[in-house]
Amino acid sequence: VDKDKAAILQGTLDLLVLKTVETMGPLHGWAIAKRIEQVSHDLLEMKYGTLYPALMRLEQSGWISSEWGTSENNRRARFYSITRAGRKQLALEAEGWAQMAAFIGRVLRSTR
Amino acid sequence: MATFRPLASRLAGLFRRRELHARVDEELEFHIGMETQENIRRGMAPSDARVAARRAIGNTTQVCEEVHRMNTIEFLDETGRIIRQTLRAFRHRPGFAVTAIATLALGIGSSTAIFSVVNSVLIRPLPYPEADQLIVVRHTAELGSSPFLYFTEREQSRTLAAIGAYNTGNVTLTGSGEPEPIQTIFVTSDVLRVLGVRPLMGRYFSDADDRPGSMNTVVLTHAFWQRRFRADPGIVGRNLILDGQSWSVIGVMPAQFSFLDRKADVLMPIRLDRSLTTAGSFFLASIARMKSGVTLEQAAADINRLIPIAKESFPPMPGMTLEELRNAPLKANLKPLKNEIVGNVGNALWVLMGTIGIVMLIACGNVVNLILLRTEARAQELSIRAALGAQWRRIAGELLTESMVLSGIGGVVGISLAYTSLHFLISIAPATVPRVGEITLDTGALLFTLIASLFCGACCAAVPLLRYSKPKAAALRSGRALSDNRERIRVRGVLVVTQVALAVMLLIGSGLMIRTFRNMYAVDPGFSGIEELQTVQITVPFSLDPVQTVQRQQALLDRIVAIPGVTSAAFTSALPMGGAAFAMTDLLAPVGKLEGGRQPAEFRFVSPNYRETMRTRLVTGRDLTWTDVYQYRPVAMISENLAIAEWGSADAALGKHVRGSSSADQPREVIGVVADVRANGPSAPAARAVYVPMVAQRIFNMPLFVWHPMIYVIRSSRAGAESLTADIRRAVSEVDSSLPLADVRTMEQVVGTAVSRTSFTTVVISAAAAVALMLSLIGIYGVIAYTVARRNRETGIRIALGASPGSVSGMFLRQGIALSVAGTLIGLLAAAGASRWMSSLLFGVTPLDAGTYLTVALVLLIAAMVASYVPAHRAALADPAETLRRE
Repeated sequence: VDKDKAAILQGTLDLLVLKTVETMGPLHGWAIAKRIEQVSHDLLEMKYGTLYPALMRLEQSGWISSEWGTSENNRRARFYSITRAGRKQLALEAEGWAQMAAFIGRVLRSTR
Repeated sequence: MATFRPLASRLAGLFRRRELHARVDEELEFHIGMETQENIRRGMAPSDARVAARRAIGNTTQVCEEVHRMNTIEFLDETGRIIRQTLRAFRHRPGFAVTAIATLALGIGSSTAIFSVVNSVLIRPLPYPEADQLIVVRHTAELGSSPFLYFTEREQSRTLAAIGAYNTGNVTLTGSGEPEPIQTIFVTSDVLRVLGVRPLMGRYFSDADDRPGSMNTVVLTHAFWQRRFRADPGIVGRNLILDGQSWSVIGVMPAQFSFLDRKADVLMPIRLDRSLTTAGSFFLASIARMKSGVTLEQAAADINRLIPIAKESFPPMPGMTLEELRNAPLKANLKPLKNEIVGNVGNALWVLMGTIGIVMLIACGNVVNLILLRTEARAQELSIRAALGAQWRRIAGELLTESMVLSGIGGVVGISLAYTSLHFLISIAPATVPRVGEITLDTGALLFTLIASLFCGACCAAVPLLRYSKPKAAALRSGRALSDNRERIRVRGVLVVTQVALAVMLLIGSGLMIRTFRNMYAVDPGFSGIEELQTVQITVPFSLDPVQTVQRQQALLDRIVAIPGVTSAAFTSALPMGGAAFAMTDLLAPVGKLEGGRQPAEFRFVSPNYRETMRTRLVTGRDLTWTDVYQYRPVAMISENLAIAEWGSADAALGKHVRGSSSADQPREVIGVVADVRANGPSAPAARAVYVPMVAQRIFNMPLFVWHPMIYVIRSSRAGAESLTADIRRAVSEVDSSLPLADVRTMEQVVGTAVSRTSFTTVVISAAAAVALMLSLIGIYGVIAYTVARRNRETGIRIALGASPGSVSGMFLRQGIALSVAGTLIGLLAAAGASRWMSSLLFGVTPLDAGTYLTVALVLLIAAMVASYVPAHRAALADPAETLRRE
């Protein structure tokens, strides 16, 4: 475990996953994990064990859907893609996150 | 509906743990494979690569568990949390919860009670194993069975697994304590094999017990054993003195056993003697069990095949030639036992089921109203929560859970309510409803309650869910509760109008049934003073010759007339109002053709004085006399409708002749014309009747006709009293101590049985209509009270500005009246459309009876006015200063 890497902030994994499947189209779990790591320039530490429950949760909320497909190395894998409700949710959460970030930024600046 | 998909998938997840595990396992395995490849690409040794990949993902079992926990525990937790929260909310607003639960309990409870009755009486199979194979065997339209047919069918049938015959009667129990008349079913040994019931203790009759001259054995029913012997466990083997003879108890039947719909204390073997059997005398009733897979038609064909064989196998009864026996028009007439006991009730069933649905809908309407009210009060809260990011499906889940909790509690309370009201229903309709003893709250009824509760819960949640499917920004903007909101009032108004309309439909249904019921009693049955008529069936021994038979029957009559308090007595082969015991209709079809063969008519064999005893009006001519009887005079009395149909008037019929269809029959002179009698129940038209002396020559192809089982009608102010029955029994035993009294009934009971289906349907529909009326009045009251509460600010201003209290209350009253008028009009139209389904249940009243419709409309409008007046009046009394200050 790399000490330089940041742990994923609680509650943001959903946002990251949604954004990833929105931009990349149908992906299997491993590819989603890799993509998140790659986009963060390997600064984020991805706990793979938490990814799959998160995928399941998102699917049950109706924000992503999944189906069996064939991976690039010809193996059976589950592919996830975003749903319409998922796009809306992503927009909502992204906005919420931006507001939150701005708010925290203001708070931090004001203490100076 | 998208809201519910996650819920459904979670519910499904509860039950698909294994499937889910397999899927997660496969995904993790794939992930590890990919990671291993990646690691190898980065230069790890293959063995290390896999280990590293595994480590990176953590404990795979844990991941699976995590997924499962999410699917089940969290869901259950959340549901539990919402339920707790709901209950807490109810505690804070007990008024709302109590009203909603009481309403639901009333709706669900009454529906469950009605369903239990319908289910127990009409739907549930008879309490015998494979009851659908049980049939009643008759040998013409009405004729039961005769020993010669019974023996033949028992020995040679190919389609019947078993056939049994029985007859009912009374014996007197003496020896221990007071002599007691007890009701007896005389059965053949195979009757219980047909029914498939085993005794609780001891044994049932074997073939040996049923042989003439065998030892006397008797089987007790459970109720009799409990009542008379205090459930003595040592009863088997003891001896009872029945009619002066000693009978050994060999068994006791189980508690749930009932012999068809007959009341019985003991079962005794009938002990038919095959060697003495002749063809004739139909004094038996017969039930059979068909072999599995055999249809009613096949069984009928089989019995029709056996009838000629039976006719050849036994000598004709005394006084009958072989030729006449061969010509006897016997034909199998089979009926499922259930139809026999319950009757043809398909229509009543649907009407009753319909009332269940309507009561339930009305109850739901009230609760929807309440929930809407509550949701509106919370609209601001909900909007704020939604704006703060609460998921809509969570709110929806809460609403759904809330109404489910309400209807769940309502269902539980409803069951106890149903239990109580069932007792009430059973107590008010004891003798007239078939299978009344079997009415219970069984698992079927509980299942019904469960479904009804779920249905109510879903209904109650549906309306607010649809109305609030999108949180409204408006609710958020306006901080203060709105003064009035036309749309809300409209939704509520629509609900109330629907409720009133449904209640009107039920009220009209019950009104029509009540009128039918009263018409049935109001109809002139052709006889009168039924409250003073006692009937009893006495069968003189078949061994008597015709002259002895008549003498014995007359001797019985003389003794009975001599009983103090008896003003007159006579006997007949068949009582009116379907009161003839079905085993006792006469041998050859009672319908013959008159001279010229134009009119069918029923032949009834009566003693002199029958007309006077029944108080049937003599239109013209004279009565039968004993001289007519003893001289075998070829005379008859006919009914007025027959006289008019044949000869145009009663007077014209006098001196004319009638006879049966056979040319060998003797023409009989019409000596008298009597008023028409409703022979087949009050709603059936009066049959055309020919009254023939009880012994007659050359009739129905027989040289001399004489009928042994006669129903005595006895006019006395003591009718129905035990003391009169005891006196009759004593009088009869003075003539012949071996003669039992059977079918001891008052004429009121006979008529009561004839109208039982109507009276029962009337009671149930009226009860449902009463509940419906009450619920819809509560609905009207609720809406007006709500409107008053919502507009109290406006009211306060109006009163402060000088409006009179009367004008204020009038404003609300007008609203209540408008709603109920609209509901009533719609209800009247709907009832006019739906009531034709009832037409087969009605008698003497059309489905569109204006009087009933008008009365119902009036009753409802007046009741609705009272219901709206109460809150309207309260609004006018409110202190304006107080009201405005509060705002």
